[in-house]
Amino acid sequence: MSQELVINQVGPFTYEVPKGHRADMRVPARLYGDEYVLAQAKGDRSLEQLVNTATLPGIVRYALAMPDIHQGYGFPIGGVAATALPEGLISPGGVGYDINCGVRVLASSIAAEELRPHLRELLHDLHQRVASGVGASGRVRLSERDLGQVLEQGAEWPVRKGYGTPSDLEHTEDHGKLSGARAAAVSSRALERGLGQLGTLGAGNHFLEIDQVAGVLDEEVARALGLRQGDVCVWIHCGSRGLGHQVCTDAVRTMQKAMSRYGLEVPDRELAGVPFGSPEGQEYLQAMSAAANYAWANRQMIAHLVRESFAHVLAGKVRDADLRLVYDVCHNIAKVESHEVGGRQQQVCVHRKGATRAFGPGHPELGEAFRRTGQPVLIPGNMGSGSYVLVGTDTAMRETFGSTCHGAGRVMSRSEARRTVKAEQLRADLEAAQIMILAGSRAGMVEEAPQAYKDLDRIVDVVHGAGLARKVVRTHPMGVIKG
Amino acid sequence: MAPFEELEHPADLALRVWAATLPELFAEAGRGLFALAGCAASDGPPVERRVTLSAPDLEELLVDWLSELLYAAEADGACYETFQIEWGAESDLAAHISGRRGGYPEGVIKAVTYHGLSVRATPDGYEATVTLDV
Repeated sequence: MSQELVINQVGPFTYEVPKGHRADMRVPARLYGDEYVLAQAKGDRSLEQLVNTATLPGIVRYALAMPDIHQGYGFPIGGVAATALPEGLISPGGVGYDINCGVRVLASSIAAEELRPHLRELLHDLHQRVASGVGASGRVRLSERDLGQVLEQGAEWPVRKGYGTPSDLEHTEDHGKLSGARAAAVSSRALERGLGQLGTLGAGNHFLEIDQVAGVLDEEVARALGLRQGDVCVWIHCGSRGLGHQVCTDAVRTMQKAMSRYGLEVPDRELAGVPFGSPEGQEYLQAMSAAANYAWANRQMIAHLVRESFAHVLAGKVRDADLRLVYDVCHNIAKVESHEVGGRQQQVCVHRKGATRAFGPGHPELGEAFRRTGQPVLIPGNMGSGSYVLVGTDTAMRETFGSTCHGAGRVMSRSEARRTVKAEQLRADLEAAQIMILAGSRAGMVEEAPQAYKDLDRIVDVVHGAGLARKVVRTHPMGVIKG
Repeated sequence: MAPFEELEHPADLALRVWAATLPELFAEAGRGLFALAGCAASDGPPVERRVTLSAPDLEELLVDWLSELLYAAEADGACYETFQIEWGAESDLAAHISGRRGGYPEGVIKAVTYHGLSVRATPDGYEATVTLDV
């Protein structure tokens, strides 16, 4: 940053850059973190990006960052910002290229040690069924008509086709469908890219992981979510694939051209946006919603393939091979939600860029299953450390537009990981921890090594301590499939 | 030494490219893109395309060029290796690209971003930096 950053601790887990720090800030900027998080954030441009986010036209209350903050494009990763309707900005930089990148967790009644003798066979079967992004096409080849339906129906489409149950929809954020989606708002190039990728993981930090519940931190809520100490669960992390990436690419280009017509300027090209109510803003909302629906359909398809794999490999070998959906969250999205601003409830456009919705108990948008517990929040860690399931809180509703972190956040560049992490040593370390891994490439594996990420326990301690989400269970990997 | 290098980036991939002329710069940017994507050698069938682009400035043109290459690679399942570029007006180009099917690691690079983007003249020609979303 060109001037020294002024950032003050204003709570046990909250830091604030005052609005007066820079002349173009419209609101203060807040970071949820501790000394560890703050020190990491000062090591890249993420705090500058957070301050830039505070300049967005129409932004209300604060530009926010969760403790997994790290440098992104436009918004920092871990960024949350809400803009007033209809003049406030909608910005694809507040969503990201992987629209509705998100996480799904399936629970089982299979004890980890009951599954372990069959783990290798199961991983290989999963690897065959669930195509990764490396050199493979999706198992489900859609017709153009089917794709149009997927874009407007989301996870409902595969459920209608028999690849899931209505209960899956009740256990998915927004029931797996944003109703404002319009397939015609998606470019022909994006449609082309979406035809052959449904049912695929992609690469990078996407994964499919078999974990065991390693620690129960809230017995009552864990029981309500169907998670039990020692039982197997499955984590799926992926997004909207090439279709979503193209929607964002198209939108950033369109909005950069359109901004001047609205008299708008932003300090970073990747923050390009237009008024929410403008034709371009509505077109993006419709296309983004369509891409989000594709991602939910994608995770629903992958969950179906995982269920098929478990049934095929484990039939007759375990008592009950069924997998139940705990929940499915997105962490790159923009949605219209009702939140308190200036003492009254109003509709705002909430952008979550590497952040997870965390609605508290009693929220009317949560299904009956979660009215008492609050919304499940699924926080993946890394292939060595495992992950957390938490639930949303009223504090998150009051302070962060019902949002919390989405993961651990990177601390090491991919090039440094390739230079310093030896694939053979990584495999040996994982095997010593009884973790099997199948990876699409050596580079893809070492780039995602545990040491490339922040300490997840500290990140989750921050959101738990700040009251943004409450810990329920800790899970530990048994087998990992990386794209 | 190839006229491109990977730059440090906290979470994604970043590229610096240099060349004596703009057509060479954009050709090397293409090679850099596929190198960072992790393209493997392939003896698959040859594939070629014609690309025509026009943009308001060189930086947007570079994003559009690399985005076009990403799309072509995914659509064709191909790593592109040869880029014959003709320059029109200041930021117009027409190119013949060729490569081989197979060996393209789909999904590794999600998109070409505007973050850290620059195309500038240097005493030896031109230099560009661009960040790729992973």
